[in-house]
Amino acid sequence: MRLSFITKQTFINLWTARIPALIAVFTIGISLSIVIGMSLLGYKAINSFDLFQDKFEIEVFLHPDLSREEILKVQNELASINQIKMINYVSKEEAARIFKQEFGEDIYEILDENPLPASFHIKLYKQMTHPGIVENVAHRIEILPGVDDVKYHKEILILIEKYFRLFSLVGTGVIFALLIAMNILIKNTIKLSVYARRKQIAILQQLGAGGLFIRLPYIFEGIIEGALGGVFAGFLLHTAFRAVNFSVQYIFDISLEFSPIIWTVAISAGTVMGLLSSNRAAKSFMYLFARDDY
Amino acid sequence: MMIECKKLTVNFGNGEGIRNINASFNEGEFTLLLGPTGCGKSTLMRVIYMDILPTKGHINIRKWDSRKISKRQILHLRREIGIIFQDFRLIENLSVFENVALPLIMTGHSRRIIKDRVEVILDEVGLLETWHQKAGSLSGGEKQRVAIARAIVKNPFLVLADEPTGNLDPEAANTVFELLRKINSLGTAVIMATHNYGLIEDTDYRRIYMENGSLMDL
Repeated sequence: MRLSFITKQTFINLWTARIPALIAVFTIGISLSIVIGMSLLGYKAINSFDLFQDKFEIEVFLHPDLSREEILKVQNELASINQIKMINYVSKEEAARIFKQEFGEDIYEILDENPLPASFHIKLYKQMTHPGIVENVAHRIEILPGVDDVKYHKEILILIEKYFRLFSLVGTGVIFALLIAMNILIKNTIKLSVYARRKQIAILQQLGAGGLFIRLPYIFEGIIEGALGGVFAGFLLHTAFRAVNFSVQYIFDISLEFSPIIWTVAISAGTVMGLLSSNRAAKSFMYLFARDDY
Repeated sequence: MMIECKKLTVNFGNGEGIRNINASFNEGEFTLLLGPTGCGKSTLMRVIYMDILPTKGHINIRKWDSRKISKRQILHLRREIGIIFQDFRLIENLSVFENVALPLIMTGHSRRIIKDRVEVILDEVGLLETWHQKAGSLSGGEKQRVAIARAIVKNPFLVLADEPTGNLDPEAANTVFELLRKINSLGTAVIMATHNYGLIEDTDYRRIYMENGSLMDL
């Protein structure tokens, strides 16, 4: 009987304040979809950055007239650098083979000789692929005897590092701002509900109703608004994924996959948000407004 | 002794309130609290159901002492007292049945017990036929009878009635007063604040007169 009474009160509250409730649902939906969308982008960005770090290499070109012993000496020097994880030797012949693979032309047919130098392809530990560290390592290698040139994608590394940091900062800021906005929005809707029913709350308090009994309809209201906001967010994201896939599939050979987990995350996040915000709002406003009236 | 007030003082800071009240109320007694508007009758009522706590002195209501009572205990006290107000204080968008059932719903009684108990009480106050109507659609007299039904549905040891006939026509006022007398005759103590002297002139209930926040036995 208690639960059915509280449920009935919840729906009466929702119906009475249906316009603010609808606004809350839509705004929560939009905010949640942005938060989840940005989180997904962030996840993709981290994955891509990870992949880039995995593939990142420094190429160390050797003087053409080095003997086998001198090459081994360079290799040993490289191996003593702590930041280096893997060293791969590419001989002149192997370089010619790679050239043919990549450009489809045989270097011997074009030039009658192989001008490609032997080199070391170096991989660093993941956490060492920051521009400053890489530059430092490259500089140490450059001055080694027998090393002719050191090459790596310095500009790309700086660019990725810069934008990744910017994206992380902006993304985190936007996510926090939207979470706060959602919290304020649910809180305000509950505040309106509590204000509209302040006399009822005062009556219940005079009859000896406990805090939770009074608060539960408002908490349920917040949960419903949050969950519906989550459903709306899921719908928005689903539509956005389809739109993006439709518009980019002819340009790039990629497609975004809408995982059903996104629905679960959106609805759960909305529900938890609704629960926490409405509980806090009901707690702080129910005594305040009820006191004003009787 | 059901209620004992010792040097009970409530100071609102604007000169209003109650001052240095020493009084006691017995179990099963019908007490009339008389006096002009603003003399402190409602304040004394509010102290009894601990809506406000004394600034000085103290009040003991059965096992509850205003000096030691916790917020949770105040809720328990209110669940054992029935309160009736001049302005009814019903939840207007709920039905008569739901309004009367509220004290039982909030304490977690079963649907069966609630239904049986509310039906008996509504029959007693003559409103069984209107159980499904919204409280907001009733007349003033009917609303006050619903408020009485809500006050007594939990078998309280005390009913506080703060100007219960203040908003009613003489016939409805008489019905409400008769109901309170009936409740008292079944053993429940009643403290009724009123300035409707015509209504109570033929009764021999204990009368307490209040003036400027102070109290005197007549």
